[in-house]
Amino acid sequence: MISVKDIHKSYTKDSETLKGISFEIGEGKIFGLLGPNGAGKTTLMQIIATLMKPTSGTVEINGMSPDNDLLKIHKILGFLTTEIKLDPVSTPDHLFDFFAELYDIPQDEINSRKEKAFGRFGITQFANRRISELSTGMKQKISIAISLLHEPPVIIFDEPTNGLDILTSRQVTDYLKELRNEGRCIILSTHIFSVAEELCDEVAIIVDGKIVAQGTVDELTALSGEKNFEDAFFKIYVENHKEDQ
Amino acid sequence: MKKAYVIFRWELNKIFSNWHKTVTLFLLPAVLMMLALNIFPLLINYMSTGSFSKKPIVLVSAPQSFRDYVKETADANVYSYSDMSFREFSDLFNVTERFKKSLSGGTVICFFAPGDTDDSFDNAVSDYYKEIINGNNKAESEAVIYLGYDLNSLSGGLRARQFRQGVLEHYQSSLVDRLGGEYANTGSNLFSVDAFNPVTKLMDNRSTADESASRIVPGMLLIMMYYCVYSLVSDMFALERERGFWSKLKMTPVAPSHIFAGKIMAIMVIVSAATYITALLLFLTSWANTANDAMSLLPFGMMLTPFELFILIVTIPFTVFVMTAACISTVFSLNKIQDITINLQLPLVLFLADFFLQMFRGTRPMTAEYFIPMHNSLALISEAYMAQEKAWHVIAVLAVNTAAALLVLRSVYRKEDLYDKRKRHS
Amino acid sequence: MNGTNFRSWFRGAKTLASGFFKKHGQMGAQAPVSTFLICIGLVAVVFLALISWMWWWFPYHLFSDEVYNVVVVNAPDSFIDYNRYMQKSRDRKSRDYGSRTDLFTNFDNIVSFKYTYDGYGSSRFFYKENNALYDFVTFGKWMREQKAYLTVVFPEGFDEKISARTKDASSEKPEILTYYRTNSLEYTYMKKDFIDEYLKGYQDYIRAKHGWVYAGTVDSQIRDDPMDLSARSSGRNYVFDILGRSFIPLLMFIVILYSAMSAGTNVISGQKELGTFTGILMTPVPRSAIIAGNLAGVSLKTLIPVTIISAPVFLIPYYRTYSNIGAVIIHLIILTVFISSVTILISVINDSVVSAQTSFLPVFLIFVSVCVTCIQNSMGREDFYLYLPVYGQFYGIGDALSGNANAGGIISTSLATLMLAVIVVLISERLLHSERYTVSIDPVTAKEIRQARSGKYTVFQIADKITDNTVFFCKEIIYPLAVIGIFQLFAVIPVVIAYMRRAEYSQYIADLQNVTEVSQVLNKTFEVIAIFMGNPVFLALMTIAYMLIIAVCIIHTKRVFHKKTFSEALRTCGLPVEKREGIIKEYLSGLLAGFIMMSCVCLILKLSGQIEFKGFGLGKEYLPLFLINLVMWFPQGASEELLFRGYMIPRIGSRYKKAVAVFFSCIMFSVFHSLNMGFTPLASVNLFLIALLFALIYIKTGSIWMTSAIHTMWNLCQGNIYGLQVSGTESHAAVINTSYLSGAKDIITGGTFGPEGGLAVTAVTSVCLIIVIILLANSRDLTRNKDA
Repeated sequence: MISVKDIHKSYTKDSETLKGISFEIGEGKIFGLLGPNGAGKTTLMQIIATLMKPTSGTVEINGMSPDNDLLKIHKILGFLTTEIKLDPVSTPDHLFDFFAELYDIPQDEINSRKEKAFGRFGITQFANRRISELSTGMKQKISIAISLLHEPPVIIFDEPTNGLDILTSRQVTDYLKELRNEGRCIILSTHIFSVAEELCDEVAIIVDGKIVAQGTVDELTALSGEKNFEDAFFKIYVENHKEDQ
Repeated sequence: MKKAYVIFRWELNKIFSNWHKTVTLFLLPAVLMMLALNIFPLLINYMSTGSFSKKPIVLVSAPQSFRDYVKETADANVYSYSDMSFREFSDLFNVTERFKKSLSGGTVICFFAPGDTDDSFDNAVSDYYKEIINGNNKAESEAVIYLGYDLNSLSGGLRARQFRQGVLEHYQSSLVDRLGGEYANTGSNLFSVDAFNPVTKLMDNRSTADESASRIVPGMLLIMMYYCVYSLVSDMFALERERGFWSKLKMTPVAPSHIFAGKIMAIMVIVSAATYITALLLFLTSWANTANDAMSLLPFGMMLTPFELFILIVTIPFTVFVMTAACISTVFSLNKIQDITINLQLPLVLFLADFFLQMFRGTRPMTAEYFIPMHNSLALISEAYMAQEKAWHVIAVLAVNTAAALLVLRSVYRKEDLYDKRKRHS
Repeated sequence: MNGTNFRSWFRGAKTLASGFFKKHGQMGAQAPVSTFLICIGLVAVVFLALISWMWWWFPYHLFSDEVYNVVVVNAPDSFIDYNRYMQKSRDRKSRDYGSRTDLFTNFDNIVSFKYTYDGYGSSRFFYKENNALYDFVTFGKWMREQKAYLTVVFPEGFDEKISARTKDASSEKPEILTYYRTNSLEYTYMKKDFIDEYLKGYQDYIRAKHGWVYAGTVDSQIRDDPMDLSARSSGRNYVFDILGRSFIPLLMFIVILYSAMSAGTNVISGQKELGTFTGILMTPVPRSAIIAGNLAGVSLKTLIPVTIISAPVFLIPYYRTYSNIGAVIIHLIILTVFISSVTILISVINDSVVSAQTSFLPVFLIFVSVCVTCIQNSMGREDFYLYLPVYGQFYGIGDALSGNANAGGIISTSLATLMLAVIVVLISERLLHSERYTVSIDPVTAKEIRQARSGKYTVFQIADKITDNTVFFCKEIIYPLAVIGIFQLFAVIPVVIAYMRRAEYSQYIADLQNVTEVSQVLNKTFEVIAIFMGNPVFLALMTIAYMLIIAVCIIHTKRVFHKKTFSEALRTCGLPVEKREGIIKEYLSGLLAGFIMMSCVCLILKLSGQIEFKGFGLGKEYLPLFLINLVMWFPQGASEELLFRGYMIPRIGSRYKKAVAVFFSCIMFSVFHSLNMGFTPLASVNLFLIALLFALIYIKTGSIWMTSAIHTMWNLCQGNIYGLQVSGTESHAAVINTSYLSGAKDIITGGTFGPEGGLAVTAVTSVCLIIVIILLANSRDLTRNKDA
């Protein structure tokens, strides 16, 4: 569903943030992006989400290129990042209606979708409160509900469980599994290894703008010869970071 | 365009659901301007005279005929009078400091001098007419009305002129009827002009009021418009970009041009409405100003012909459009929110400068001014108030503003729309 | 505070203040093209304004499309003679002036061009006849056709009236009316000149023709005697003086305001937004040091541009004496500190940069307004202004620049301003102790919880409640009055203009000038309305106006009650549309009830010997009027019922008890109708009773269909069937010709107010009220029994 080919991105003339990244993800898969802070995960995700344009290289989603079918891609893409804050004076209810209309959801379906989404995350009782009055976790849940209201087949999640308590993050990971089982394609970036181990069908480790290792969690662990994934990641990171210098 | 409408409605709802913001946007600036126009001069008057009413005109040895005239004439009752005899006056005159102070505060003294004789003013005048009836064609009257005020006091000079034109000259021409005796049959005015003519009265008031208004109102509307546009653009563009909400909107299957269009439409509607309300309030201020003090910025009786009103109504949204475009371009060419706000505020100071320039300028705009976006609206509205409007000016102003706005927006849009087709081909 | 403490306090403050000068790119470093272009625009505007001062004549003349002809209506022979006589001098003037368009051959004249009433002799006169002296519509048309700017209207028999006056001075003075075109304000002055010069000459001409005695000299003179009290500088120094008192202080104020705004409003609010402010609060620096440090930083930063702006001022020799410079500097520093403290306060109150900047703008405007008032009054101000804050600085700078620095003024205004600044700073410091302004949370205090539990209100809450209720009632009072007033006004304007165009009403309008007292004004107003009531156009317009009132009211209901559909809104305001037959039944029975009630009133009047019927009174010529009247009463009744019953009772009932709503609507109805002519206290009571009756019927039936019908039928019967007056308004087309007998008593008939002002109506209404109350009580019992 998603194919990324040789993406380069530079912010300044003399340094590159992404140095040629390529991968492909199929339906019903969760693809995990792992990497230290500043490795270029967010940049990569924003490029895939068409919010940024790569300096060179191509991104295709469902065989469509953003150059030609930008709006069609938007229709099948769900994007969530912690950097997006919701408008503090609106209510979840209004926000949902607003985005539902922008995503062209038929009028008669909006309410049923809203009930379903709000019910799942327990937002219903807060539906008419202002966003600014709600807690961080609630805001994140609302963000997720709104990002996925058009039931997109391709989902990009930038650290979805960041700053959430165990209960809420469990809810989110369960939801992600469910989405995978529905056959959606999910790109996920995270710092939390348990999440990656639990969810990801395939993992790519990015260090300094390059994919240095790619495969299932087990494969990578085995390859590095460590006992658990966390140690494996650390080993891979140290090896690759040194090489660069 | 349906999506643009969804965004438009969303922005409107957001504004109106937050009454705090609505009040700040709609009422506060308008009310402040009302304050500036009405309360401040009133307060100053109060502080300098100790009363809210105006300073009286000091009448020195006023004759009976003048008192009668004041009693009979409505226009003369606009002023309040304080009477004193010549003796009282000269006593006061000797206490120079107090007297000076009061004169420089805008007091007007009206002294009815009979001339050489120790007689009264009335007698001096009627003696003169007796002489004429008796066939003395060379008779001359020495009766003089002196109008004293401080040469350096702007308000004193203005009031003296108003009083002279509005009261004294009419009184003078009525003297012949009051004191002329037999001579009045032929010597007094043979006919009266516009003694009762509501239409012309309205038009005369309009002339004075609109002339002042042309100096004050356009600048005020411009500042008001910019103030609203500034806060809305900060909210709808700058803050949303800062929060990342803008990215969220961009991720929806809505063309960026439609997002822009919806938001710009919302700004135009809200700001135009707020400006119309301000204009209406200014209009009402003028009509509420029945006392018509010499210093009032908006005299009584502002009025616009339908075409002038049309110009006012049409110019406002177009001006808002170009202002919005300018603000949006500022927002999208900078990254730090501090830089953005400072750069958005700077034009406000410039508009303030433009307002003062217009206030003290007194000349018609040069032709080139119709081609400077934003300022041309000020020129056009002030021209409409001066009743000097020309159709081609209107067309030029609207066209220039629209073109400027579209040009600016296009450049912003090109920068924002990453996958713009034209860009790729070029 | 001991030494160590103070040292740490000072150190914290110093660190915060110096922070202002470490950041780069805060002001002006980042400027986009748009800002640059706007600045260029302003420079261009100033430049063009300067040019326009130098070429002041240029656009006035070459772009003028002014006209100079004059239309004369009903010109008397003497005026035509006078025009002919003056034509020669006009021709000469025109010849002397030369070509009006050729700038090159006629440079001197065109450059010194001024508006004159005859356009340098180019006026021509056009003679017209019209007996409607106030017909400004036709005059306007003629002026457009003839390229005239002025219409002079003479009354009929002008010459005769003038010669009559020479014999008898008490006879009427003829009045000339003038009208001028709206498309240039210059015409006002040209008209004035025409009256002052040309018509004065005309007077002299008449006198000369008749050989009347006329004094060549004037009876008295008016002399302006401006007194030069202060030693006034002259020439270039005068200009500097004026600049120093107006422009320079204004410029300095704006510079201070703007730079304080950009440096100050975002300090604390910006940190709050970024979340770094809590970090500063966590350091051991006391809150007062935070405020003081920021204040010092903002003030110092603001002083940089102020110094840059004021330095060139002091280079001008006129302003350059050291004591003056010192005074100005003191004023500027004090003002900077004060304004900076205000910005800090605003920064503390707000929790985002944008909201802080937005809320500073009104403060900005207030300061600018103060400046404007100061400029207006810069010479004639009182001394005590010098001692006030802000005013003192403005005048102080002006005085200092013109060499009149006043030490007492400087000291006292500085102290006062500093006091204010200190108060502002203390407030800011206090606010930093509350959670609302540090972590942006507004918790309930223990005191508030106690109060809420005990059910007591604070003074503020009570005041809040009172204002809330007052505002609500004011709105509800103003709403119906505004709606009715606006739409009826729009219906009246075209009719007024139509009557001004009729010759037979010219005298009537001219007589209005004698109306001065309030009672006369009222009487005249009703006289005018009575005239209008006989005009089909007026009635048709009123019908439309009433329909619009109904429409507006329904839309308003929909909005106020948050109804989604119109049928819901209609039901809310007492116009349920679901059951067609029910409506028709109710409406017809309402019509019948109204007819019976009015008939009873007439019967009482007839039986008590107040009126007599003179048979069928509707002439053929009045038939259209009657029909249009008939049509008008339907929306009229419905609109009033809608406003006073259908909208008002549920609206007020939504906040208060129903009894309050009914009482209020009755009072409003009564007051609204009591404004009519011939009002008596009894009329008020009657109208209140009628309103109560209608309100009860509304409650009984749950809709206003029936009351609308009664209302309509009541007015129709009264005005157009029995020929009585409707609430003070006379009716023209009535089926039955009725007249009051000579012995009629106003207390029974209601006199000029109409039967509503009399006891007959009281009786009928009371009986109806009793019937309705019994019916209402019965139905209550029924429902209660059902419930049981």
